Amino acid sequence: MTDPFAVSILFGSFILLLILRVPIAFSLVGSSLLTIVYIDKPIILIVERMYASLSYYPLLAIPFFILCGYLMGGGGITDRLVQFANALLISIRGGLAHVNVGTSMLFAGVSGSSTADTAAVGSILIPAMERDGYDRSFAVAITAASSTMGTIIPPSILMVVYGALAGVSIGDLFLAGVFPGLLVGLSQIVYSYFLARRRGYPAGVRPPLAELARSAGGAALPMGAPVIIIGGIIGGFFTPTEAGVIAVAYVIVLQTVVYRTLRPQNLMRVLKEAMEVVGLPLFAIAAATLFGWLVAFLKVPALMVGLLSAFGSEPWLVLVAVSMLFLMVGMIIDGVPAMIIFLPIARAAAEAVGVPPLQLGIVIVMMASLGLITPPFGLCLLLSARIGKVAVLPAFREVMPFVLLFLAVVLLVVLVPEVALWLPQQFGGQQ
Amino acid sequence: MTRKWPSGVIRKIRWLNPKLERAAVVGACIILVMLNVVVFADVMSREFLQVTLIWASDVALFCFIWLAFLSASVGVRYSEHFSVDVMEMIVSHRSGIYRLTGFISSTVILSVGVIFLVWGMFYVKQTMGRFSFTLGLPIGYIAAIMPLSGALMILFEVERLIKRFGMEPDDD
Repeated sequence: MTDPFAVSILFGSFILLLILRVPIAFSLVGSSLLTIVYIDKPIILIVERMYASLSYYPLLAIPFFILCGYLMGGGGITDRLVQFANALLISIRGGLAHVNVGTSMLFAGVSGSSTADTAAVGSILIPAMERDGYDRSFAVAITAASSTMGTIIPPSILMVVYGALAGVSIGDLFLAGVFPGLLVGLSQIVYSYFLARRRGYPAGVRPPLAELARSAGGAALPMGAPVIIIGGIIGGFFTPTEAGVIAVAYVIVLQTVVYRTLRPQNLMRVLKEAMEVVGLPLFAIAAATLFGWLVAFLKVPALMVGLLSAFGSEPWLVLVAVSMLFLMVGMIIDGVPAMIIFLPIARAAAEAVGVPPLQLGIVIVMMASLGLITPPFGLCLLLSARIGKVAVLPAFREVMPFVLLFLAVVLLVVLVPEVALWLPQQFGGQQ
Repeated sequence: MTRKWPSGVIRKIRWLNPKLERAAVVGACIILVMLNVVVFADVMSREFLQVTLIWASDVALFCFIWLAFLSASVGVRYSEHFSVDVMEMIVSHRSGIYRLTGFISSTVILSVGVIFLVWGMFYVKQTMGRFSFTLGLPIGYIAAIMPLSGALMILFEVERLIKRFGMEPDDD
């Protein structure tokens, strides 16, 4: 039976520690420690659970995709993607905003990390947008908002983790993310266009066809990466985890042999940068697994499933409830830890009403991605605001329309499952 | 106001920590490269030579776990672990409450470091008699990163406490 006091200690102390500025991962461990002491379990459980959480092969994809993102930013591939997106979209009103979204779409096809996208694209396009007369806070907001596609358009770290946790084909998840990801990008382009008209943001000069062809040629090889990665997974040549290392190898070959833009000293710098950020999500995963174990031990999922079921027995209503749960959780916790803690609850509720696991996966991945730009802990927005040297509050204000648009796309995936499920079905995938 | 701590320990920590950090960074970078090379070699060997490197998954997991905890320890030195700073919106950075929350945050990080160090060592002892699937390596060697990262977290967080509260060592 659930011990309400132990559950209160677990969640209450976690929230309290967060308010007291304790880093999220350490808050998870701290609240778990208090609960473990209260329920009289041995403290060594903390070490055991955290160690065991990382002894899990699919998680290896995380350092690979993070490194891939940093390599793309450090060796000129991002420049080529920007040039191509620029040639394609600059002539539309609000051109650089569209270029920002387009580059993130292309970047997302190679890297599986949204934060790497924000860092790489933001450092190039935020200053350029400001020079072109865009409000700096808007430039920051659209950079962060467009980078959410990094974890929806395949490959995606979040999908690898969801697939591993839920036992769903990661190849199918990758395919299911294509159209929702493109819709998110398209909605951002349409919104930026109308905003540009209202605020008088400029359109660039349409480049000659030859330049468009030249920039397309320059970006062709990086854009080939998704074909290799997804084709390799669907064709059974490598696992999604191994796809990460294939992406790293592909980007290194492109930058050192083909383009010759990545010098040894740059490679060392990129390695160091990637190494510095790799440990943070992994430590958070270890901490979340410990916390999640306690959540399960205290039988919280049974309690929560009852609450979620109160929304009704219609699959779409339960999906809306799950989305709201992840929206709230995403405001304070990063996507992967949130998924580790709350996925058992969401799965139990969804299974009870017959929601396809693939659809549930895409909805959860999208909501976890949205958490990257929602206040107060929108990691991509915080990172983008730091790059653009903008206070967080105006950036949050500018990003709110993008949050609403994103929610509209999630609602579409909830109401019309085919948006996500059609493509994997064409490749013989399961639901 | 600068408080002076008559302690040689603080001076030693300040001398030691940059060296430890550098060693951890270099070590983690080497491990990151190894991780990529091993998994890539496994894929290539399987696809082109039809030979599966059975040791690869063990080595890759070894590298992965060491990379995660080593890198997380380095993150402590620069306060890189993500936090939700709602306090910032309520009180000034210079207020006593803000400084107190900083102290509480450090205490929690130090506690986690102590758990990793002390119970991590118990765990290492426990797992020395268990072996990895393919290499037959004692799991304790892999788990040794837990107490090691605990020790690093403690040293790095103590250094941050010294900086945060302006506790300069006494030269006398």
